[in-house]
Amino acid sequence: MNSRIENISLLLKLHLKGALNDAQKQELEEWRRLSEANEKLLEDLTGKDLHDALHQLATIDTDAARERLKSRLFTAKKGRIARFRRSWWAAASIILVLAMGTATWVALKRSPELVKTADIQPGRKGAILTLADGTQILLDSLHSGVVANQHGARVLLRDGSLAYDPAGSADGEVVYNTMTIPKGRQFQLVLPDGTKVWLNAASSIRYPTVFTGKERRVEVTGEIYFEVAKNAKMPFRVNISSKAEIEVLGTHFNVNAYENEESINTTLLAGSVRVIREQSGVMLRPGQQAQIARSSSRPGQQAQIASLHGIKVIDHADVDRIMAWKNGLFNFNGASLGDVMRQLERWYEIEVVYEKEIPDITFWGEIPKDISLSGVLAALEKTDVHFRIEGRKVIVMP
Amino acid sequence: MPAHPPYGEKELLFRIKEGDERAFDQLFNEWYARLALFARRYAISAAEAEEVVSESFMKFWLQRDGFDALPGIRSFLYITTRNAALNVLRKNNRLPTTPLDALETPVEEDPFFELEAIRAEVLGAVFREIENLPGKCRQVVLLTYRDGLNTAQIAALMGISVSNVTSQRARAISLLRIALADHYPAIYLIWLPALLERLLSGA
Repeated sequence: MNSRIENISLLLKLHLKGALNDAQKQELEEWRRLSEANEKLLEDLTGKDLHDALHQLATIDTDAARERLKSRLFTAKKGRIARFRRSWWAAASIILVLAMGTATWVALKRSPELVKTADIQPGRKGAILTLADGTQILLDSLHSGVVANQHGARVLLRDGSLAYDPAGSADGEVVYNTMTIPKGRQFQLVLPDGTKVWLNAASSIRYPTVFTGKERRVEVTGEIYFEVAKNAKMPFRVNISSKAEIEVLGTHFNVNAYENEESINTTLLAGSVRVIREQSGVMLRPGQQAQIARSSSRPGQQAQIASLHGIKVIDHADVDRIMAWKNGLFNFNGASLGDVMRQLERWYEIEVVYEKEIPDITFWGEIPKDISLSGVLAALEKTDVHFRIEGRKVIVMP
Repeated sequence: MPAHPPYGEKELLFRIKEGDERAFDQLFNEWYARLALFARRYAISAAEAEEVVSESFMKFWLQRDGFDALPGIRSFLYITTRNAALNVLRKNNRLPTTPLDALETPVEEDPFFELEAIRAEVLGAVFREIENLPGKCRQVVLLTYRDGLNTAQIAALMGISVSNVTSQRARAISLLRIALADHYPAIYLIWLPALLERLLSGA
């Protein structure tokens, strides 16, 4: 799997023919000795493990597995295959819909009926950068290059992502910039310390152009995924509209703090964070999610399940579902219609109106984010829900 | 067994881009079991391993336009399978106590990955060639390693002499050596002498 292996292969071929000179024999021997792991592998391959491995191989029914997979990949009509381009469209072409307790496999097809004029396009890269003096710069269609200069820190736009280059700017005051992502956009940012930030639609982050002092502080709204650069001397703190704080050392985590969702959810992928609410906090382990309920619960709802300091921690968060937005997908596993429509609202910049009350449907499946709105609605329509599009308004009908 | 002789590399790649079912079959038949073996080394169950490998094949097939050589396809399948196996562990919180190493190490720097892939390739290749051995020879080998019988037991079961069993084994070793040297890169052969020895030593 790399050129070193090719070289060893050649030596081995010669070794088999007995044609190695002393130098080559030496090289081969060195490779064998080079890592304990190689020796260990040799041992592994010549013990009981070997018999077990071959036994495993003997019990694998390749034919059955092949036929099962082929029934999904190849349709009855030959010649259709060529049209399966390298796109997510085909990979995510089945959505399992669980409606009213019955499961139905649904094939996602481009439905011609819903393709009206002015088909609503999906979101794309874009953002608004607000400088310390209030100047606003639209980042949608700017080409790569230096976007601004903030007291010595250069702001560079490259490949659809913004980066801060402190470039020796220990001088001067600390100024703040804000990046705002409107609906229908998403963007990526690299903070002055190298921390990488991905922002979903309808989100924002406020940060200093240079990190100084005892800690690195940012303020966020919406949904943001962080890969925080390690700096043990300067802990990283994320403030969420003064309702919660996240204290971080080098790590990867996702914050979902949309105002119109039930709770503020922080999901840890790697590293460690402390989620803080009103002076008390909980530590998270990778795979866990901390939920802070928003105080405006529906009437009649009681203070619920046991939670520590008002922070509920769940284990085994569905990381695929939580990170789908960053990976170009909608993941609707276990989502209600309300959950689904709120996500569509932000990405397609639409307004959703319910004609009657919201039907009780649970969805499962993933679809790509880069398809038009009518494509998504066509899939959802396979359940007992229907949509009417009027301009940028989507009306949900039972 | 395939109904036609296997395609050579050039023709195979061409047919893959065309979406030819038989090209798919050839790749799948050769690599599926060894990828499943590889996947199991990440401490997931047999069923999970098979599912993860099937998904990898599907992902590959749907992006097959982008591949121009077999090593690239093989790398893709191993890497995709490894990542999916780690996902299974992570989702079910079954990662070992130092999870971050496994998750954060990129594939290029993961020594476990490379060795396990090589191991799967070696064992997969050996197994496949065993399946191609002539009748009696193959039966002796299978009875030895899969069923764990000793020479005397095999002789009794097959109704042949003990020395016949021994000579069939010796024949298997030389046939396997030739077949493997022909079909697979020589890197595997560093292990073969000892491996075959142990494999067919019986009792």
